[in-house]
Amino acid sequence: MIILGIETSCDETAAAVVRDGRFVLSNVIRSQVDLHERYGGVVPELASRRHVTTIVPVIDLALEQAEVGPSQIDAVAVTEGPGLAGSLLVGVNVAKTLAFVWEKPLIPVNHLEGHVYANWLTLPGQEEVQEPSFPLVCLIVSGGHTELVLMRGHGDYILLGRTLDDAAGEAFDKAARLLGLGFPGGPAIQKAAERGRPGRFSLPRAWLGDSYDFSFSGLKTALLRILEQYQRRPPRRVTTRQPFPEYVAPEYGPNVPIADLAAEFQAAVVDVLAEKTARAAREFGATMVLLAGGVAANAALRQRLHELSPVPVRYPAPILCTDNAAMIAGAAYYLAQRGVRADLDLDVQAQLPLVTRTLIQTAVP
Amino acid sequence: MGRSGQLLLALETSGEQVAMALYDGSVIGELLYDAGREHTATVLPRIRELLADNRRSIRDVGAVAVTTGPGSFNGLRVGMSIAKALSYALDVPLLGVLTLDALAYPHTALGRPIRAFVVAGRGRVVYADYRRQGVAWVRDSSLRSVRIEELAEGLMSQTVLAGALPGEHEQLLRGRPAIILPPPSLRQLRPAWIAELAFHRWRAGEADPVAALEPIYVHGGGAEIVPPVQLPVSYEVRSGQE
Ligand SMILES: [Zn+2]
Repeated sequence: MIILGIETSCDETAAAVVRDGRFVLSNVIRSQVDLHERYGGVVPELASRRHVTTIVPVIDLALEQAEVGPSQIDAVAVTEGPGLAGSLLVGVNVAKTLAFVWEKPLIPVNHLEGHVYANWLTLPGQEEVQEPSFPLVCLIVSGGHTELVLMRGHGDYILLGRTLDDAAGEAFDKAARLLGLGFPGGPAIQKAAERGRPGRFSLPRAWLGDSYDFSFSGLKTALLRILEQYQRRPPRRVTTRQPFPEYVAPEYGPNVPIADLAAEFQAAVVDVLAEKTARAAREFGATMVLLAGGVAANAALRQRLHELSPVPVRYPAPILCTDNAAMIAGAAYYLAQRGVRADLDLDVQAQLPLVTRTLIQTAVP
Repeated sequence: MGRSGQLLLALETSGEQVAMALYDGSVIGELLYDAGREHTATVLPRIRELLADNRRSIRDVGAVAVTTGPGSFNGLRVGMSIAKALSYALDVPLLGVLTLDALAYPHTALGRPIRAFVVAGRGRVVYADYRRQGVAWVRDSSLRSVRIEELAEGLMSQTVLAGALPGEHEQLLRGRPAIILPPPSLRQLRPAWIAELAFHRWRAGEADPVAALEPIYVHGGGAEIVPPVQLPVSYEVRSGQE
């Protein structure tokens, strides 16, 4: 079964062709980082504007690189949510139109489920990735989400915990802004942390008792308190390019310990993520731990999880960690097996949680 | 006119009123409905309905027209996404039509200057002016965003106001001396007007680039420069009868 996947939930315009939920035939991603950099974060209005001009060439390229025509496609899959409403609607309306004209089934995919299923994918020319085994614990970490999920079979998710405030990737973005390290924050902090030493400063870890929930906003505030001692000029927004104010990084004196602070910040985020994930794997008898989402590309997180986890840890190739459409086409294959389909009245679901449609049992065993 | 290759589908989703038409030199079918904010959920099912009601298939469509605004940003993006995907999947030309051009078009026969406008939210309107140049009607090169109360300010000669205002503001316009107000049904954007304007361009061999075509985003208080345009003559008036 060959599925064309379309993903426009945030600031990547993506289309991909995937066979049988496992084999990536093409995976085209147009990043908008260049567009949002000067604002210090994604500007939703600009993101959806860019999707409008990028979506058709991206789809065309995905089909061309996969060497398939519309007649060889068995279904069209699209991210219905969660994400930015104005971005999601571009992909959803385009996908519905293609399914309508080409007379193909339309499969709606939860973006978070897509991230999970990135772990099933094999890239072209790579050794075949083994199918993950159940039950497993999956940590979905990105700029938009931090969710710890127990997965007992295809489509069978139990939400163990989630962030109560900022997502992990969002915390990295905010910290990078405070440190003047640029956007996106995750890679910038990881790079700065390589030159630094964690522990020279002490930032708090929010354990929240026995809960599997996360909280990162206190960490950001603690970082801000330390940085204020070094600040010459606070960060600000300037309105040079109407109507979106640009972000100007704070100015610091010469002795500001950026690298050490970045290292400690990263360690504080990673400690909590890895510790809770490893504990969940033990408690629920998981056969493996999966990482998913943009922050899954963070080397310190992978390292710490390898140290703590009682079972093997798996994560997708970096190009499949970031938002992409191959993961959407991949997840759609398993949804199609269970008869999930949408009609032309499909709407975007900006706040879609992972477990609404797919939850089979609610009780934690 | 023959059925094959002549059929144009026009789509307008820039406001709460969604409009669509099938046109092949004359109007085959029109649909106008209040979508509220449910554009994504309702537009494609309605396109399917319009085609079925008129015994046409989507494969009969030979060109796609879409309004480029001004209007609701997300509303415009729904129409633009659908129109681009139709143009791509069917491999047919795509034509963008400025909503204001379509609003002005039926009124050129009056021989008066025209100010076409759409309500832009937050008490603002976006308008463009149309003047006669010889036999042609030409749009000014900028779209202006002003407060609703300022819409009719600075009008010197009797000018046709084409567009619909929320109830209380209609009263504000009625007393003005320099204004010609057509009946409400002629001031509301009709699907066939968009189709007809696009059809003229299509028959003239014009098309817009599928990837690059973008809605026109006019922000509050701003002005947007757009290329001036010449409208096709809406009424044929033979010389000597004027
Ligand atoms: Zn994501």
